Amino acid sequence: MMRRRLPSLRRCAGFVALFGLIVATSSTWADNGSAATQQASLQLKGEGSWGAYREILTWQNDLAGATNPIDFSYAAHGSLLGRQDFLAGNADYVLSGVPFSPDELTKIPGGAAGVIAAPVQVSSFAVVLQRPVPDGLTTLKLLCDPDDPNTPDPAACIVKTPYGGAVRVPNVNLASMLLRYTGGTTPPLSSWNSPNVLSAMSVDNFTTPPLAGPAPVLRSDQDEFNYYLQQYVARAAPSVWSGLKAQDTRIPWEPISERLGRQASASRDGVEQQGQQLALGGGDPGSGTISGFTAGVVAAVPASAIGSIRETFPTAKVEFIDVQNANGDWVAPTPDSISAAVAAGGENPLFALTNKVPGAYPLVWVDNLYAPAHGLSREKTEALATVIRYLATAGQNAAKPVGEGRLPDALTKKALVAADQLVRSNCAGKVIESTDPGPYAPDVPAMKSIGTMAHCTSDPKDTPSGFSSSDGSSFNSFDSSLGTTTGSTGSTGSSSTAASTGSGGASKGERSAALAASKLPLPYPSATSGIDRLATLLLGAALYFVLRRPVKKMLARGRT
Amino acid sequence: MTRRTPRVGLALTCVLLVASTLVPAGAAGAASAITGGGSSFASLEIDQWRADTARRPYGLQVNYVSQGSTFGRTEFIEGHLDYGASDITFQQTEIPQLQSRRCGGRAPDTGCFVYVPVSAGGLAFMYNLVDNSGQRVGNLRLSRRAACKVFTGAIKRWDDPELVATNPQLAGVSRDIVPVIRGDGAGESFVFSQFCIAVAKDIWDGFRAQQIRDDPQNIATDFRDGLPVSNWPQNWGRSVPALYADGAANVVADPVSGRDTITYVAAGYAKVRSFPVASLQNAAGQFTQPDEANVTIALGYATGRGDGTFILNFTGPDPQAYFPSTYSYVLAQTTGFDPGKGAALGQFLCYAVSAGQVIAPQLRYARLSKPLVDIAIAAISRIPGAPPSNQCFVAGAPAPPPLPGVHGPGASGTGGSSADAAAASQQAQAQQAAAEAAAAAARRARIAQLRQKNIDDQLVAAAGHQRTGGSVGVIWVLLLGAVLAAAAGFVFSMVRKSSP
Repeated sequence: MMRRRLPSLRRCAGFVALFGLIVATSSTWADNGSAATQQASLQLKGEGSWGAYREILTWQNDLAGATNPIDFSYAAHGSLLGRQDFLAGNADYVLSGVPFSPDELTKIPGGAAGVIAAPVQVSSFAVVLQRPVPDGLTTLKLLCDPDDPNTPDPAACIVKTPYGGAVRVPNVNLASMLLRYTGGTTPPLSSWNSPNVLSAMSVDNFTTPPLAGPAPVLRSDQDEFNYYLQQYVARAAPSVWSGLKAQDTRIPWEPISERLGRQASASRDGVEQQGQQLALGGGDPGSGTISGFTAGVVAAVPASAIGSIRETFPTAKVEFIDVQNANGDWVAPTPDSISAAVAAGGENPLFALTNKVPGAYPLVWVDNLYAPAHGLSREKTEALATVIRYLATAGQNAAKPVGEGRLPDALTKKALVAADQLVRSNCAGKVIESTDPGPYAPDVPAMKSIGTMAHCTSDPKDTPSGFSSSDGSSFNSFDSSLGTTTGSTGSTGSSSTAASTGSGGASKGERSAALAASKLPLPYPSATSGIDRLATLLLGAALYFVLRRPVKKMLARGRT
Repeated sequence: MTRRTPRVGLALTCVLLVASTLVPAGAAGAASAITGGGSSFASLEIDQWRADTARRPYGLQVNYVSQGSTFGRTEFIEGHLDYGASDITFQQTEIPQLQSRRCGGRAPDTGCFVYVPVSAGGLAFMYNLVDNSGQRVGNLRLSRRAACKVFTGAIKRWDDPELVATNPQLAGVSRDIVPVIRGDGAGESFVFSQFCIAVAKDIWDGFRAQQIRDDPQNIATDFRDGLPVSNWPQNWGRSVPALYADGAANVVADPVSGRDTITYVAAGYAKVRSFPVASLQNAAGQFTQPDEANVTIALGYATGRGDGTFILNFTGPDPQAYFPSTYSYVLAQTTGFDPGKGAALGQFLCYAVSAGQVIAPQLRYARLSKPLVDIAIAAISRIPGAPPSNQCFVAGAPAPPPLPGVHGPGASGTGGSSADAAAASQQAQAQQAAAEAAAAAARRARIAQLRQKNIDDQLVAAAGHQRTGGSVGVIWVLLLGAVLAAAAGFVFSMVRKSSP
């Protein structure tokens, strides 16, 4: 038995040793893989609004995962500062839901033509509420007169019932709550006990003090959320807007800007700090103290922020306030209601506020990515065009999981056109067209089904054989993902050798070979795809079974 | 049966050995979420680092509550935070609690926690002021004494002769100054009071005397004793208290009620709101802004305590220096801390003191100079689970700037004599960092070279890279598949042979 086991042990030991050797040496490919993902990461510095602050992490990770990764750097300090830093040359791009003002455009060579705008993100502001502390929203019913000496049990006269329904606040009242406007009425328009508020929630009263309404936590940085908050008040509650203007003529309410006309120490810089202030256990944002008694706290934040607040402060009980659209529907911000609004209104901000769109959430607008129309390096041109294409297609998938809506097809197309425009206006070399999304594209299917798109190469003679020229010149090309040629001459071919035919040049052979190598039907295992590695592994196994007997026979023949 | 069992067992062991090597080393699980809080002075930077490290390859979940340095220290002591952030060190009154609650009864200086310097910046004087023609004043100049007088009620009006002397445009602006002071315990208040005690002691003493006279019941002991204070005295003159740097800046930025106000905040808070900050007169008589170079020079006069913190000096004679400038420190536990959280905090801090410093000038902070980065890295390496010091500095991050030479007495060159000692003890690490920086510079040069070429050349390079490394990888993966198939065949044959 011992004799029989020894050969087995030897075989096993040999097998393990061989495997260990393979693993040890094959760590090269793992290293190469990580190096590939980290090598030559091209940084795009961006600034701007908080509209996409939850989606941006997914975007950054996807873009960093490309073969040629993009470091999609972003600093959210408000859309105004973003545009200012963009104009000062400190940012490669800006995300903003507020367009460049005429004054700002004067600082751009070529004015409006000097900037490319691509719609990339649907933004929404939700009004998030932390109910009053400690009783929440509670209604009170008097069944009898507790002060009547004939009442046998005065305590039984009072019935308190927690309000469990959706919180619905008419636009006039919501505007008043958000901007601390009383309206000169008793109870104030901003109060929970304002008749219209009670009517909207079909209750007779709330136990909060008669004059009390929720305290707003506003934004102190100069962001599009302030801009659209004021636009909302001006459009949906013109009486409140005119009242605010009349209340203190020194406040520069108009023209409406990204700076709020009224600031307070309760305001916070950025959505995260704002959400934090909202969530701090019923803390009074006015005084900052954690008070046991509040009339609630409200904040206008991106719809996606509620998830973040709940994750960071699991005990915070925050919820959306339903808003009434022009169709008369009470709507909470959900991916569907937000998408419905932008599908109907396109780039018209707050469309469903003044247009009848059933089920649409009215406080919705579109953020653009703004990039220079001229002067970008070829690498940044290609990278920014890829970013726009990605954000407008695959990047939209990041919206729904965080509670935001996605771009409608029309705006996706517009973004793709803008990406091509960016390439054409910035490219100092040769513009070519291809269905290949390019080296900066994340490895996601949506990028490969965009269709023909513009790319920038430095010079016609350097045009890579993977691309075709936009001016009709004959360049063979093929789409690596589809394995079919799309050359402007209509030539076809599916083998990698097609790439080696094309325009010449000293480095052409090397370039073509490299392209061919990089576009094998079976990508290298250093690519990020695990499926590719698995396929290669299985291919190895198959080769073993196929070659085992012939090799054995060959060896046996050799011995004899 | 007696033959089959060992054979099958042997085969299975063999395959398990192989399979075990296939488990990725990094599959240990997601990084722990960590929560911190404190300094609002540093929070603009901290927030950006949090956003940056949420991305690949870090994937960290780092929370931060920006509610003042006192909050950071006390909540760290209480154990409510995984890390604190403070612009100043623990105060003597806090040490007993720190010892009992966070240090297991041991004296804090025995090393139960570390200070990690993460942020440097100028304490800026943000103001909202229009002249008599309605034009916003954007070039306010304050002497050191005037700055202290404004925040102690000794100067009450914008057209005070002392202000007009340096700001002729204020002549005739006969309006009250509204000083916005911090209502919470703030490192900024502490540093500013330190500054006033250092450069205008008579004014500070006069302020103390008046406060003691006006409100004897509500005088804090440290204030009464002439020490710097985190809680700036309130309820005097036209002063308005506001919570946190954010709140103070908001009061000033209010288009109407913010008029004629002035406050002290990190300069970035003014930038974010598009408001100006005053130029402060330094010891050389020059008016300077809290820009990176000026702040770095001012901090060159600070003296290290040897524990990672610094005693600030506000009287250095360099004409470029901006005073008051200060550091912010992260407070991190070194004993009894969950290594999972320590790993996350360590990675976060390593990013903060290396790659994260790039953002500093954009937010009107100053990058940490090299000795500070070395000190920070040495401190970070003491956090359980944190990267060792030679792996902390993020590869490819720009090398930290050297501490600039400063003029005159008090200049430490490396942050003071104690800091010299600290820096000397970090010599080996500094060399390591220098080697890494050189490698990073080489890599950057290579990347820059690549970027000069066009994309198809990059593609060639990438493909070439894959040819040399990747094609070898393909072969090995193919071989691996073959070996696994052989293993499967081997096991199968073993089982078949051993079956009756």
